[in-house]
Amino acid sequence: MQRYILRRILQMVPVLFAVSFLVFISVRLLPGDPARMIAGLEASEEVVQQIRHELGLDQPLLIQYVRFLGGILTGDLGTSLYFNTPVYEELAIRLPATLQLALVGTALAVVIGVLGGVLSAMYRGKWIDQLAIVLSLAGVSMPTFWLGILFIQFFSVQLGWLPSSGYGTWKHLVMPALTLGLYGAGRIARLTRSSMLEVLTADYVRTAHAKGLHPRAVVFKHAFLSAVIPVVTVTGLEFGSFLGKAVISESVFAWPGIARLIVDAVLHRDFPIIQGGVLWLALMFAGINVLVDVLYGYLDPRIRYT
Amino acid sequence: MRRGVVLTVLATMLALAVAGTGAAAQDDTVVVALSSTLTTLETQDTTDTDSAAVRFSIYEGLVTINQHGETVPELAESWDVSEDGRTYTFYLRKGIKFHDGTPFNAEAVKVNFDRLMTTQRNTSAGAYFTMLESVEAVDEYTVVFRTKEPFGPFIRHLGIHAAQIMSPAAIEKWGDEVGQHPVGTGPWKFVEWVRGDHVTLERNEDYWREKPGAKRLIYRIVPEPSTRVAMLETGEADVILRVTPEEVERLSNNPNIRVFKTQTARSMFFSIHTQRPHLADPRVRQALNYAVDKEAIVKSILGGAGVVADSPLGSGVFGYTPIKTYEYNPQKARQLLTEAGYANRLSITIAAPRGRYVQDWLVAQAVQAQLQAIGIKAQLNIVGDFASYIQQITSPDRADLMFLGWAPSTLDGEGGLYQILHGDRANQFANSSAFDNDEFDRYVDLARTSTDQEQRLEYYQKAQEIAVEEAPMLFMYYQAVYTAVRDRIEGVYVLPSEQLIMREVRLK
Amino acid sequence: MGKAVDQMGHAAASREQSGAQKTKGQWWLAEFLRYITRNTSALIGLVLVGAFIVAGTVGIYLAPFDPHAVNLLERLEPPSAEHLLGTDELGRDILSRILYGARISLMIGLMAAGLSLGIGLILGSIAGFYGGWWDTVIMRAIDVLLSFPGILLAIMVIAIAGPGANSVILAAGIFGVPAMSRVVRGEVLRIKEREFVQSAQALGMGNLHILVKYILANSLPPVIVMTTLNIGTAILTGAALSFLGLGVQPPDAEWGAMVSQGRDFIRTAPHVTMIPGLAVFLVVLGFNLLGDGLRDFLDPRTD
Repeated sequence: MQRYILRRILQMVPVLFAVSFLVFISVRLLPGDPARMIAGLEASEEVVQQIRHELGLDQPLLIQYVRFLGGILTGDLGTSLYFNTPVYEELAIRLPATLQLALVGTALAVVIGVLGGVLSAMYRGKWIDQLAIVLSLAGVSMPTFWLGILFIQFFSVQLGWLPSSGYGTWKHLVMPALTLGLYGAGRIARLTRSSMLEVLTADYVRTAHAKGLHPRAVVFKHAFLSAVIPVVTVTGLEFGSFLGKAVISESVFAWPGIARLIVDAVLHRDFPIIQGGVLWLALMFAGINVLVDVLYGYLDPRIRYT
Repeated sequence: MRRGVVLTVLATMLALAVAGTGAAAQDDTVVVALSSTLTTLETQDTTDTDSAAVRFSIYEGLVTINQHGETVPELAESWDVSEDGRTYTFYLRKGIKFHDGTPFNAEAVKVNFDRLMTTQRNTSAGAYFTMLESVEAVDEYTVVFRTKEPFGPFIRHLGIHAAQIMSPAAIEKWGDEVGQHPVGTGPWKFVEWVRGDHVTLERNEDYWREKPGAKRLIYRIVPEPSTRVAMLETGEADVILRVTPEEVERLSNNPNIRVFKTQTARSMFFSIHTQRPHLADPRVRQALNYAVDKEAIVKSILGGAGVVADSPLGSGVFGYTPIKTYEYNPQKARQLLTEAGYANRLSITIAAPRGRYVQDWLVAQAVQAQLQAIGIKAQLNIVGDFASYIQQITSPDRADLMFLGWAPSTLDGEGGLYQILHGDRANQFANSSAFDNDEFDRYVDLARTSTDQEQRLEYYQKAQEIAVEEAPMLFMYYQAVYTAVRDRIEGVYVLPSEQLIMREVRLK
Repeated sequence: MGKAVDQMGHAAASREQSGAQKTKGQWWLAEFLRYITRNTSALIGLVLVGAFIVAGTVGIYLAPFDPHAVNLLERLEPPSAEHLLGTDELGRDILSRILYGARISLMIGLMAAGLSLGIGLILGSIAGFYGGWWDTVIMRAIDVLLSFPGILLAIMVIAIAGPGANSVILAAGIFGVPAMSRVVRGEVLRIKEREFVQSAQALGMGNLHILVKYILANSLPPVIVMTTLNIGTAILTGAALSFLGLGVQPPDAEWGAMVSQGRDFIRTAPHVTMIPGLAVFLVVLGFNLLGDGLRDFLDPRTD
């Protein structure tokens, strides 16, 4: 088991290396000039030229890349072009907010999704099933920002229950996490339902039924655990598209997280922030997938790690 | 064991959630919702409007440009200009202290300007002061600036935020990181900056002028416009900027909310690429000007937030003289096109940004439709990514017409005319009309080197007359912005350079 | 990571053989149509998707007004007899724009999902079928793509290729590749071990023949469900990109862009964002219901 985890961590190295190269190249393919963005519109071309020189952006790409890699190895991700602060610092300050949003959002997605999916499968064709289907479809069919804006309009402006935006108490977290989580919940509910249906009609579950076990026991002891495996996989994978939804949640609710920082950095052409941010996210993503694999070991004893 | 893990995770989440502190609006705290992430709070750095607004609360300059666009003394009481126009002597206000207790004096001014002139990184602010030769502290409260040659708009340059004065002690202590630990002489003292979220200031109890009427001032970063409106309605924010015209009417009906309009110095126009064969004839360019109903656009799309342009210069800029407006006259436009030989066969490309200026993408679409209405084949390309958009300005294959808004930070004709129309800058940033007219250039050059302000006005008027006649732009309008505030506060205003000023805020 | 994904749907151990017979059947479509009349939700899905396709193909001929005709005197008008769905922020007829935009949205949805499907099928089946070195390289490449935030990839594609429907298709299409590849690979790995594949191999059939005819044909159900979801996701991705100001640009009418641009008026003229929002919702719903129906149909247990 430990050797398996170690091997998986070693496997991450080439992946992260490839990500570093990909992000380095793609930010430089972007049209637009970071030096111009820093200097502002009123600055003359000479000034922009000088800034470009000071930032080392006029160096050959290979040298820039080697510097970037060297920086990574020594733990230095460079200095933000826009904020003029260490990239590490900018990311670290926003990490707690993003983690909080990600954890609670994902937890909501899993709880609502699995619950909905299980109920829906157990009562297949009944009204509970239909309600769950409609709600889960609503979750995946609505533009995220739309849902967010409607939430604010309803819960903050109309009812005055929750603060419309910002970071701090659990009240601030409710709407962003729900906006983030509902999409995932819809996806997970659909998946849980279909894999539950498959498991419920599988031979061993039929056998369990035949042995006279209580239906609920069958659902939980046998069907649920098997059905939840693809759900875990998807939850792990969903994290990859997390940034996409998080950036909208973070923008609509003014949540000071990493997703918005990175997307803003793209718009400002703040290369070091984009590079550092993507590497951090890649690292997190890889870590979560190792975690997912380990979870399998608990959920499905048939899987052996070699 | 598994249950243990779950419990730990839940407990951590709960702890995280509870640990934060709420920043709800309190009675003596005023909250401003800004739209874009703040970059730095030092004065000699980037020029984004929102960061500059916060700096105006913390810092002051030797002079400042007030809401009517006039230069008025601030930390300097008065000044003299020498005969040759190269030496400026400033007499400083006495007894003022920075927030950290450091006294404000001539040495402090010198430290700031020396830093500005020699800074190794980020020279965009320094670029406003390349004309400076030296800054000397003559005595405790007298400071002398010498310029390399006579430079007419010098006093205007001292009014921009890059010339605001930071505490020399803070500069020494923090070096390049002084932007995260700002110390000035202004009415508000820096308390904390939670990056990406908010900046908190508190009242400077030792302020030398009348103190603000609230204890705390919080600037929050809220990127989504509809969220900012919601915050104002719930009372979570007291001030929001750049309210869309549609919301203005609705918010005005709310008894707790007041909306006001500020005419800014921003001149909106489409630059016309004058060196392209089909646009080289001034009659074609005039025809474009006659073809667009600016009045209707301002009235409907902007909800009245603007004035139709009658010069390339914005109305709040020094040197602005009303020349003439091209009235909406499609008949005349057609006629001019026919004379120039382009009746029903003119084909142009237009580029416009989105989200940069008030309703920019809607205005561009309306202009496209109106040009099409007189038989011009107009193709519109809206670019959401501003970095890509401005790169087009210097690109040889840029669009024929580019939608731009120009507001010189110095609010002086020099900043308003030189870069966008002077022949030296044709095809460079930001003269995307590639306008190159010797007579125009001559007047702009004369206005720069003259220190006689009356004389400068005259030169600028001549230059503007040429520009309007030659029409290197499709002149649109001078942008105004709407600001909405909760009724419980007053004394809030916006400068022609679009910065929100919270120095005189009071609670009712 | 591979281990985990191999398990995707391992529980569905029993469906492929009878599924294979069905997909091989000549009257697949007829049978499906017969099936669907008995399944209300799938029928609703079919109707919604059908309406969308009709709007997307002949919609522009049905539009009562020019979708680009600006009228500054009739801005933001609520639905009326003249403008059945009201007018937008420039006085353009929303019904006409919805009909016109259906084509762009349909194109984005289908082509982006098609792109994910095509690349996913190729990568996933090579990795699963040939295994070994192929598998390692492809799956690591997929890992790289997965670790690279999708929205960032999309933003960069658009910044580099310029805004427009083609960029949105490319961006949303690439977005769906990793998940599709993994699902296909998992299915291929699973089915590869089944007896009928092994007997086909024993009979000396070519690899490509076996892969297409036996393996891929049998991995259809999850792939179909995923593709229907992807069609909707692509339209939603278009909307999300518009939210960031980077999607299909006006004056082109694309539904996602209409929803996003209309949000400025959500309080003052809600129909401007609600109507395209509802259209997006119904279409995504339609594809999902249809996908579910197809899945149930392809699933032997519904017999």
